[in-house]
Amino acid sequence: MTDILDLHWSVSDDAVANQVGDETVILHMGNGTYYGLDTIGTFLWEGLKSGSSPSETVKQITAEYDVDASTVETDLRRFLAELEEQGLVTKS
Amino acid sequence: RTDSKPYSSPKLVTYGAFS
Repeated sequence: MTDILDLHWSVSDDAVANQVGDETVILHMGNGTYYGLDTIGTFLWEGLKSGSSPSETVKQITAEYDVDASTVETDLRRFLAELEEQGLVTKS
Repeated sequence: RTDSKPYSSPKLVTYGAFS
C-alpha cells in the first residue's frame, strides 16, 4: 500500500489562501469557512502548492527544525487527513 | 542541533463561516 506521504497532492481550487507572516489564512469558497495554518502547516501547504510530495517536505522540515523524521511523518499523515477531510487538498 | 528552530506539530484552525 502506498504511503500517503509519497503521493502528490493538489490544493483545492476552492481554497483561496494568503500567507500572513509565517502563517496562512485560507478561505474555502465551497463550504464558506475560514481556516488558519500555523508555521509548520504553512510549510507543508507551500510545498504542496509547489508540487512537492509530503515526503520531500519531511526532509526539508527535519533539516530546518529540531525534530526527527518519524515525528514529522506521523504529524503530516494526520495533518493531510485533516486537510483532505475539510476539502482543502486532494490526492492527484 | 543548536541552529535548528523549535518544532511544533502542524495545526489547522477553523475560524468559522464567512458571510
